[in-house]
Amino acid sequence: MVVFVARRLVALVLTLAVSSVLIYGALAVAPGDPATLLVGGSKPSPEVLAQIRAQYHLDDPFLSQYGRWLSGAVTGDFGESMVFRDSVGHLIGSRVANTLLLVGYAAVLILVIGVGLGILAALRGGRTSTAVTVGTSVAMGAPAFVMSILLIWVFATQLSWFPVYGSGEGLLDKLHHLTLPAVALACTYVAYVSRITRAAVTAELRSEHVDTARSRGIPYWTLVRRHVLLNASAPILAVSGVTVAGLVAGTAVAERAFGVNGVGSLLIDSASKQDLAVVQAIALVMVAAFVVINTLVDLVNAVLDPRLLAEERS
Amino acid sequence: MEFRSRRNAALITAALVAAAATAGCGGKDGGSGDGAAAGSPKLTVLTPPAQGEVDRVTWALATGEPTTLDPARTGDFSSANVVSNVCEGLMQVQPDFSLKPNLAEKVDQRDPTTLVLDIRPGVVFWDGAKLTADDVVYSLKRHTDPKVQGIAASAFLSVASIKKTGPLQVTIRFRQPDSAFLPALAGIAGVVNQKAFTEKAGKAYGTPGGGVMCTGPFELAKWQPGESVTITANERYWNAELKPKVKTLQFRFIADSSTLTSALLAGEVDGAYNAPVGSVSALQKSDKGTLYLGPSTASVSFGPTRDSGPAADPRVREALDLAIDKRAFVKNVLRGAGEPLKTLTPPFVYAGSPAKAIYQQGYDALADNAEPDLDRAKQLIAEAKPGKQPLTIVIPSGDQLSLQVATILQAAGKSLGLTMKIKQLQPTEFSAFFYDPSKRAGTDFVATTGYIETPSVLNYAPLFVRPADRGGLFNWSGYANPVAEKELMAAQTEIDPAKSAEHFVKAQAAFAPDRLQVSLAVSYERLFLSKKLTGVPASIAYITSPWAARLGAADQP
Repeated sequence: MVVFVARRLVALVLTLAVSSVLIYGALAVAPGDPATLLVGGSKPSPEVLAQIRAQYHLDDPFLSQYGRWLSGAVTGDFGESMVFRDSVGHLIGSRVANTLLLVGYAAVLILVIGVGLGILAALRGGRTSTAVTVGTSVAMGAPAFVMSILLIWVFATQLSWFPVYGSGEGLLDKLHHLTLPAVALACTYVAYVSRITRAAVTAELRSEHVDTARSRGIPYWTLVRRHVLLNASAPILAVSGVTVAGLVAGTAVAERAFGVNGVGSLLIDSASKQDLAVVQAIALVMVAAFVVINTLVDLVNAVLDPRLLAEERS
Repeated sequence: MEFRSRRNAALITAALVAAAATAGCGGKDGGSGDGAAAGSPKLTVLTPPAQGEVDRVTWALATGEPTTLDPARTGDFSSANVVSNVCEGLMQVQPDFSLKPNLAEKVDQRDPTTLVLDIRPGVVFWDGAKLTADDVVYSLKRHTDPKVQGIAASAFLSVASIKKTGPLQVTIRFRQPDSAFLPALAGIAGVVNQKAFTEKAGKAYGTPGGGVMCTGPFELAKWQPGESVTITANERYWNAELKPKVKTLQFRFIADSSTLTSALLAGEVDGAYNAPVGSVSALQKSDKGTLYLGPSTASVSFGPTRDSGPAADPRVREALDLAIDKRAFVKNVLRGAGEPLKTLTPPFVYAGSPAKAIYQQGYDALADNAEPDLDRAKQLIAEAKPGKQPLTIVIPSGDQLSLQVATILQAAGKSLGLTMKIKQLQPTEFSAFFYDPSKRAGTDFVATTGYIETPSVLNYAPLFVRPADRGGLFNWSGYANPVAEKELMAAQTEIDPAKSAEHFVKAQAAFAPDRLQVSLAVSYERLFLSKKLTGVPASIAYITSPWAARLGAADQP
């Protein structure tokens, strides 16, 4: 187990290191001069340009810029936003709670509804299964931004059940504000998770050990719980983990559409304003969140299914 | 848009993306009811006066969160929308785009190169400190300090010195007379900040943490990054005419145009300037509020980017101009919320000028280019013989309005036998495009949109007419017109408004036929206002004047 955890941690650090080079490098070679953005005057004086270049170290060689950025990033200092003239850490910090809440909310919806529907479809079969399949196909085909427009129109403009935009204040108000974005965000993934769950549960139902158990006269619900769901949980958990990790990056669309003050909308904003420092920091944070969540899921899976540890050893 | 005024390209690009992103839904041209003739909607300069007080108003910033509230760096719609209510200038733009002394109580042009400003006595900052000549001198000089990176620095090019000549008097001397200076003081160049506060805040001035200290009708109460900016009524405001009727005004950042439209239609937001152009007809049908169209200095155009090849030939530009149906452009692209434009300077720029008649006469005398004349266009092309090489049109990527302009230009070129391709540039590349000649290599045309913020005809046209080494920052086609240049210089150095106007009109008559920019249309201001509220200007004047001070309840309490 220790070896397993150590290996995962090494992989985590390596992934982060490689992605930090990629993120920093890709944005550094992007065309355009960030300094000209900052002046915006009709007659940018060379002194002003030089001042900005020095302040943001735009003329230093790539490696030295990367080194400065990375050593800052490790200590949580991502530099200063060129557009907002505020520390990047502060910009992200003030928005991260909304994003985490949104991701958590959507994750709960995905797990509860997705896994629930999948199990229901697999156990009941027949019309229920068809209905779930059709419903999830539609949900899977609707991108988050389309769902957003639809949800706003129905539940905010027409029915006025939920607000059109904003992130609210206080936990209850925040949940009220975040319901539509969470639903919009969760829709596609609910479909995905329910499909996987249905397939996994169906496969287990047909497997030999379940047949054997059934022939031994084990009560139906015990059979389902102990033999079907427990064995089906590994693929479901793996897929759910990747899905939830993906949500972190996916919030951008929903946050933007619902005017939620989160890290995702900050990313879009900064990207359109070429605010390099912010884009780099958010990209790195998102990669980190993705990798960390995946590692956690791997560990949980290993605990649930010790065979994984054995595979790793061989 | 860079062209227009000292503005940050990327931000306004973002503004336009927001404004144009929903173009494609809706339909119908925007003739507002009220008995307006089809094709010419009714324009509102000022909405009906407010009748009562309001506790709280929620206002949307259609271009997202301001990047700064430092008046010296207020270069985008969102920042200007907020700053114009909290900080005020020595001069002030009125809703009809006329000019009025503001913090400068009296403006005395002693001689052509000396301007004496008497500062209004009894004005206090929000913290209670009195406004003094020191604050004024400091604020004016701050624009040209390289550390500040002020975007109005170019307004001070002909200034020789700025000195305090009394406790409430400032004297400005010029190297040469400059008729564009006084109007500039109504824009961000003339905004007065408190010296002590600004110096103490340093780099943090205008940021969420640093705040600002001004004398405007509203105080900056709170800037919650990413969430909202809240301003509250300044109880000690000096100007009784503009005493705020709204106690608290909260700005929300809603850059997504469909979300903004939904929020306006649902009544969650009480109003917004610069409402999405694609939602004009939806907003006009709303029972929650009114969509006002107002006169504006915002325009849409394209122009040459090189001094050789077909684009540099005025005949080719005239041919392209004549091949485009401006009325169809207004109807289809601007949803009826605009009108054809003949030249660089939209008439609303001088609508409030004492020499308006002279300017207007000059504009009316220019050839009308609204209707296409394909025969004449083809004749011009036959004369110019531009050849067959494909031409490149540059636009900022993601900007729907520019893309539509480029597509229309492409179609116009095709009808004349010219092949054109569209090149989209990322925001930083696009802003570098304006200042770095190497970025323009291999391109022929650029599509631009923007607005003129102060009532000065000399803000914009000279940048295209003068030689590149003498202030012709956007004269990329190697344009040389001694008559136009001489008259523009005369207009700038002539302090008398009527005489200055005559010179400008002569210059305009000389350069307009050469289409240094092919102007397509003026784009009207689109103000959406809740039925419960009224009072604010619907003209573009809101961008530099304290519009929210006029806002109040539509009904008497």
